Amino acid sequence: MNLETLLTMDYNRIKELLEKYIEGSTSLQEEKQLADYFTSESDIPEDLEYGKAMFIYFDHSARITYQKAKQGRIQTPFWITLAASFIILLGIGFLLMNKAGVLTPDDSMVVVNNFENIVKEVDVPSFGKIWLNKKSKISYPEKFSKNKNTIRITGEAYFELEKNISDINIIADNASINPKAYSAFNLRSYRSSESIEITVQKGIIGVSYVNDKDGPSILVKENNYCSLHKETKFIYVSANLNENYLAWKTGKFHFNDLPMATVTDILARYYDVEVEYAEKSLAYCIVSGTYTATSLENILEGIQSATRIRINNTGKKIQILDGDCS
Amino acid sequence: MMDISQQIKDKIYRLALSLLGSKEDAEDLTQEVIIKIWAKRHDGKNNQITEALALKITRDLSLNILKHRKVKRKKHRIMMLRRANNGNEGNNYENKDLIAITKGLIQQLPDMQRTVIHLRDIEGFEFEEIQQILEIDINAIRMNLSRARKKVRDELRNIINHGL
Repeated sequence: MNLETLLTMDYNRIKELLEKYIEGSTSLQEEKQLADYFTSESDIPEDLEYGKAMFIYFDHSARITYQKAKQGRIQTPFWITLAASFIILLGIGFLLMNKAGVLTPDDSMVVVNNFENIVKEVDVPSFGKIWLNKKSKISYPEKFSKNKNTIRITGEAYFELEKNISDINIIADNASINPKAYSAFNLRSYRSSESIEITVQKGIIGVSYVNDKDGPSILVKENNYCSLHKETKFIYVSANLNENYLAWKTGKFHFNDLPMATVTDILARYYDVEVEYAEKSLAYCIVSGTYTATSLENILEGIQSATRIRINNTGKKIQILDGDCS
Repeated sequence: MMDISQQIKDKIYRLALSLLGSKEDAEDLTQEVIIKIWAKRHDGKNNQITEALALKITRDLSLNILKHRKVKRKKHRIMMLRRANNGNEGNNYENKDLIAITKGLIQQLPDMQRTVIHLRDIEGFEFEEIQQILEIDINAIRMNLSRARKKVRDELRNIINHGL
């Protein structure tokens, strides 16, 4: 018997046992076999992965122990109080010196603030590249270390990791993002929006919430989109359906049979304008077209000539006036 | 002199944690159960406090707390995971993620199913032992158990597989 048949037998037996387990008819001994298999085997066939999830959770939970945590208040000896206040004073002194620039910490940060109306391209040595959208701010360590490297961002940016740095943590509002090596993704986290949005173009990234060990933590893979709600901590993941998420960086809009409402949403977002429909039914018209490095004026002109919709642009507001879909 | 072993304390704590969902609540409840057992030590004919009795008290007290809780359990977070369309390398999700997802799914089960799956799959009790703790018949235990397992399996499959 060769190894392969052995493995198949193993697979068939485990599969059968697992089905029996779900029905509630396995013995404790058989359940032990399943537990042993799923906790020790590293390469689980995809159709049995649910079994792995269950049994490693059971194993994990069975290891939780009760530690008697709560104890009465203990009188703190006077000398400890004294020592503590001395340490606090020392700390304050250190902070003041630091502020005055007497001490320069090794982990100094570079801050890039983009107030301009153009996209800023930032080369970050030993990390890769970051493109920063307007009204966005980013800070990153001047020197990347082998340990924890924290990058903070508000606004929108596109990250492209070149190097394999093990420990990168990107903080956007209350979300914590851990990109794996060589990944590329877009991150949008403006203060005004309720969610943090991430679209992964290449590779894989982990997302979770800051200081929430029990909270959700998931991996988002290539070509997927993910939004993290700031308040409810609700994570939504799906395949990326928005072709235009990088329009702010590339200047390219591609409308491939999209409803007018979606098109105006996209334009409102990228050109920072409001939208008003005088004729609601026009929101359902299907629009197509590709625009490269052009102005809002030109795009609206293009839509008007391709359809029979009349549009007015006040500069702050796009008004969809009248017409029909044909 | 009767003492409650650390093993039993751990079991009490785990069941309380599983039912109440919060560490602080589970710690408080464990202490309460220990005190209750201590007070009961002369009730029985012998001084033996069985595991079954300890867990029965734990369950009753936990359910009582759940009943009186104004806000029922933590808001559940629904997570959806989809592999990339071209992800044919077949790499598994990280254990940490699988554990977190399964934990969330089990927390969403009805109380009885949650208790049964906990006692069987985490504590490894025989059906007869579960019967002593929950005081329901073995068929009902089996039914709750298989419903719980099915529910968790179906949800996990949904989450793990490509198409949702």
